[in-house]
Amino acid sequence: MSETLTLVAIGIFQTIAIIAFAPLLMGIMRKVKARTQKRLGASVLQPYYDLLKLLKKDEVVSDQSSWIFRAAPWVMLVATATAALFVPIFLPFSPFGTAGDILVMLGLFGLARFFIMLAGLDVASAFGGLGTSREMMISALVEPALFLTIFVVSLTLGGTNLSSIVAASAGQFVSGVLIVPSMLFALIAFFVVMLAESGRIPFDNPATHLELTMVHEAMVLEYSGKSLAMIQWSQSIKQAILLALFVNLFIPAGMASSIVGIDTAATSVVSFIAKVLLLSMLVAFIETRTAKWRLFRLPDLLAMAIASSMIGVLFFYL
Amino acid sequence: MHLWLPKAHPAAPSNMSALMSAVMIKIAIYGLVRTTFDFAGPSSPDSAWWGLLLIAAGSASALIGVLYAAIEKDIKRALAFSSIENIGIIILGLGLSVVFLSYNLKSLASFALLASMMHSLNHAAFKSLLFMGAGSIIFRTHTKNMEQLGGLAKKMPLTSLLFLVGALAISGLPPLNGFVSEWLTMQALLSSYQVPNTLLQISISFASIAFALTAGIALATFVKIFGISFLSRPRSVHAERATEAPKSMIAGMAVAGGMCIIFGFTPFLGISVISSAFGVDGSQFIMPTSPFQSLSAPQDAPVTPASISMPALGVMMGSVAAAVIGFIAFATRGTKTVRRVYSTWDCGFGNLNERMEYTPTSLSQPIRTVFKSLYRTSTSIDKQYFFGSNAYFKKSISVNSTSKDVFEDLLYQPLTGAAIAFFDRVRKMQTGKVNAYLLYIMIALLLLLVLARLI
Amino acid sequence: MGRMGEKVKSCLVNSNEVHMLLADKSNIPEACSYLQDELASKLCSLISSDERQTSGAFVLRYVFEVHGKEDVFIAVTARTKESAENQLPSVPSIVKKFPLAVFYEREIRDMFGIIADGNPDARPLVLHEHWSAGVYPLRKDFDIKTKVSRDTGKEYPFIKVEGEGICEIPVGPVHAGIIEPGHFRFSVLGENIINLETRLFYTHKGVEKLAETMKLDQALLLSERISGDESVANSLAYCQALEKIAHTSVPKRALQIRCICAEMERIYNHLGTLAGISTDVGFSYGSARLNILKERMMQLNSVISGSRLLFGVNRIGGVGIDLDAEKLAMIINTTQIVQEDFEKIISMLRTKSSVVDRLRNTGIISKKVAYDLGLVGVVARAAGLDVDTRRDHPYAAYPTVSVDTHHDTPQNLMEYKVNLEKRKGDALGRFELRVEEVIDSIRMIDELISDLYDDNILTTDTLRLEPYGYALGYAESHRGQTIHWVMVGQDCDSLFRYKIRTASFVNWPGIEQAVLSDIVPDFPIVNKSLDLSYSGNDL
Repeated sequence: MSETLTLVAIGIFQTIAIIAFAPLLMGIMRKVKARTQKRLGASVLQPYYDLLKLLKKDEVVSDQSSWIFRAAPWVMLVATATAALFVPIFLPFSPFGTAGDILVMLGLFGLARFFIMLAGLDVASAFGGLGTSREMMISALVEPALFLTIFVVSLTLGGTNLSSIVAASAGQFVSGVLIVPSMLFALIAFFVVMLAESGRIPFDNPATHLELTMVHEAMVLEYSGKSLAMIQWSQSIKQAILLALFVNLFIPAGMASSIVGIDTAATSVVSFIAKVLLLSMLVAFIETRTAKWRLFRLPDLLAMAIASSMIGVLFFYL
Repeated sequence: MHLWLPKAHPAAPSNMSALMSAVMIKIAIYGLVRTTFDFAGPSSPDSAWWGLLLIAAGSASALIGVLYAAIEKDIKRALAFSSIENIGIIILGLGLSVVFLSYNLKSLASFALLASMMHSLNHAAFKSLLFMGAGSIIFRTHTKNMEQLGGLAKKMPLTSLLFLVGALAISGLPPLNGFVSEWLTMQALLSSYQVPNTLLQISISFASIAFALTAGIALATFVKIFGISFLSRPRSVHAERATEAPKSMIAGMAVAGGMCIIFGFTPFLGISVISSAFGVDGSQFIMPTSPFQSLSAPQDAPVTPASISMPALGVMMGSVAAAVIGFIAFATRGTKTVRRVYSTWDCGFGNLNERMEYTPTSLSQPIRTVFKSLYRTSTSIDKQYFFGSNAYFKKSISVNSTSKDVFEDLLYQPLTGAAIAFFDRVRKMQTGKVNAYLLYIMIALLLLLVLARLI
Repeated sequence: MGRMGEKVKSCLVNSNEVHMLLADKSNIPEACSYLQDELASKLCSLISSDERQTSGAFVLRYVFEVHGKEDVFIAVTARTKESAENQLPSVPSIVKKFPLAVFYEREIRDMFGIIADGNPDARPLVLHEHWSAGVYPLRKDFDIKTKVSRDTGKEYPFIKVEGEGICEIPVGPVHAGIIEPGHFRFSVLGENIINLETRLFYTHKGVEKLAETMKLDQALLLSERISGDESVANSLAYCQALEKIAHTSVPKRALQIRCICAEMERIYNHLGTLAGISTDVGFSYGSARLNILKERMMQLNSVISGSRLLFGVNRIGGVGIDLDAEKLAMIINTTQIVQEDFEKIISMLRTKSSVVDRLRNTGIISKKVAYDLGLVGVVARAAGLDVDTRRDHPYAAYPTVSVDTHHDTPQNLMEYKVNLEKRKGDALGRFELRVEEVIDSIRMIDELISDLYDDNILTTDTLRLEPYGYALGYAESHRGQTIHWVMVGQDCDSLFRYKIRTASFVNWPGIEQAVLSDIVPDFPIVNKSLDLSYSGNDL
């Protein structure tokens, strides 16, 4: 019983850690972007300052909006934070694995997206509609790419239980067989999906000021104050979850297989942080070096991701 | 079914529609299940083709149904197309079950059958709810055209809340019942690797692309249906004058909505109904027999089974919600923030009106563009000029955009028409974009890989 | 003038300008058509002035630029007055044949109350809905200090696109970025733009009216501030107009310094536009690098002229700044560094398929549209029109440098002609053309500095103006041709009428045509690649 309690405590600690450090990750990515563009950039803590400032600001809501608009940030934050519970972060398992798997995580992301898309429509402005309609297209195509990636991962590592697949991944690395061709193709697909889901270039430009080109920002254009803070925070949590998942699924090096000792746990934590930082820097660097794609070329990129994970499936079977 | 359903539903009154989707369609499914399992009795690998056929038909029907639902302007037709989609998912599960049974994977077979039957049960709940909701809308606004709706969340708060439950459920979002059966179907698809036949494995993975795409578009579709009908400004006087639906209608919807929630949080209720009806032997895999037990898919021995526990998920979401509310309250303690209600940002120009909010046609246009070969949309823009052909002085512009049901044309119309269209398409292939070529090469490559393995 | 013979009352020649006064205003369309069809000239400005006090009528001048080798401007002049009490004066409209005239005619209707009969577009252009009806600010009887009462409740009638599913996206005048105000009304079907209408003139500040209250040298400062980033080109056009009226000859060194500064202005603005295009395609690395170069050029501006925007360069009869050896060395040095870096960045941008793909086939302006709307500058050249005021109507020291190397030899010319025909008029074309012009400008600066005359920088002659003397001044800014029409007042030290027609005014209508084959998210790229100024348009 006490062991279960310890596990639950560790699980909750993992979740709180990812929720708390998600804005920092965002800050680091912005800093990397700024430095590669030869700018000084704001402090890596800036996202926290933004959140604190926004929490204390008055809010303006549209007179056209309904309760959906007011509820959406709450639903988004709750759904994303709940999703964080299922993701193994420092340890190869999450104690909540029996209650949900990677598909539940996707479902929760879907719930958040559903509400934010509705909020975009709720304010009766053309920009919200623009954002929602673009998100409709992108998310509809991300779904098969992501599901097929999961297909490959669960074929290769067994099942959709995040804890067991991450553990399997860690185990496989130890036995020296990380380079499974099917996983490599899944990695490509997952990377594309990760960029799409976290609204980064080439899908969306998180730094743009042009209303007409936005996707995600257009949907949340009407938000201010506390609600905006919650939305921004959920976005950074979602991004952190995706990065953590990427790292733990595809580059499990250094991950402890259990919580046997302080030193292995420490190695696990340190290596995880190092890997996530490197990955986020890579994403930021790619973002600096690529232009946003034409809206109607994005389906090609997603189709590429689908095809890539399909090849992964074939490699597994053939 | 694809042919008559979208036409029958809008023609029938809404309560009949609800009944139709709940019962009549299910009778057909029942017939199919009985024929499949009682007469055909698949037990050898030879009968796997029947399962594959069902999988192909199911996934194609699901995808086509949802694609048409996504662009439909008529709310009832959209829901009818969505029924086609869901029946596709049900048939897909059925097909999987047949395939599993053919290879004597009994526990998987009953698992897939469970997924399929759970989905038909759930579909009955949320589709009845949605049809009744659409009925209330039509009853109060006298229009089925979503281009005329909007802003009903404020006029019909209860209807909108219940419709939202239905929309969330049908989109397969947790913690409602649609999620449970989609999860089961996905697990059944993922378990297909246990089928000892490469061709089948690969075919099923293609079906899972179709299934996932269906799920993705379904979410977009219901964002559109709910968002356009209930949110933002009324697009016509009909919607502006709407009032809350009568209590009897609300009560009917509340029952269906309650079922969506109950079957969502406690799927074991639904499962026990189904297992008793079909005599599914639950002992072969982990099946919940009490509210808090997890659901999981049967797997090979060394693998930890993937599982979900909806009640646990509900508890987790609830506690996270409490934590979030608590944290936000803590973080904003001592500061007084005011929430002002003000008009939507108009870029300083003023006079925002209903013409400046997104329309259903515009909303689905990106999806229509991506799948344009399936919709064959034609948009004609008619511009009238003051001076003949001098294009700089426009007197008026009118746009007419139509999309045809390709499948009605291609599959059911005389063969000649289909052949002509086919050759047209072949011709188009040769002049297509580089991307299209890449796709063809890709498909050819995949086929070659498959062939090489099989020979 | 052949068949126009008896319809022309008088003809007047002043340097490269031919003014023909029509006997009757009803001959305007015929005369204009004649000039376009027979003399291959194109309408480049329409100037109205209230000369009721001096000649008893409003005078309209339809200025045509003769296309080809000859450096000639022809102005068709006609008079009109109120036929009866309380009835607005009118002229026949020429929009049927000259679509670009619609904006001039609407402007004149707003500012002078002269109706163009037969113009189907009677919506206000410059003055917005809140402006009182029947108040015409550029008439002489409108006092500049008048407080105009505010009308409310009127709405601008945008074209309403019919059809189910159409929605309108109103954007602006307040934008999310720090840019000037302008309203864009898109009628869209999803992402497809069906129609776009612009509503500008939010920064209308009455420049032309203000000039009429100013002394000539004050108005010079005003001309620099019409649009801050075109200060050299606009003040150059103003100075040249006055110098033409007075027949002043400007020292050669001054002319060369004018050209050096004009080219420096072109360089820093093109760099800024290229950086902006890079930002709008979401390629922030390119824009960061290009903005550094722009900043270098602006710092150079500040060192040589004391102003980052090159204010204070031009004076009537010369220039206000001299370039000593140290400054010249600095210009050469900086431009060389900029060029090296620039070439590196551009070759990097060209290899980014994501950048090139966003620009290719985006915002196409066909040659026909460019011709019909009389577009100028990079936009027109990218569409395949061979126009460049620096070469067509050489001014300052441009006759002594090779503006472009395409016209040097017959072979080059042939190749250039072929190249022109191939141009698509898309954003990529405009991008490439700007790149080319930056390099050309640096080359021209080198040429100018290498044979800089040792001379005065300001003429020693006194300015001999005659009352109500008038002339055209023109220059090629980085946006294209800017034409200023200056008419001095009776005291020879003030302005009677100062009509400014910037490149932006003619190029803005192009955007409504350019977006028609595009999707909404590509609009910012189209807009940026056209590089239009709001301030320079709104006046």
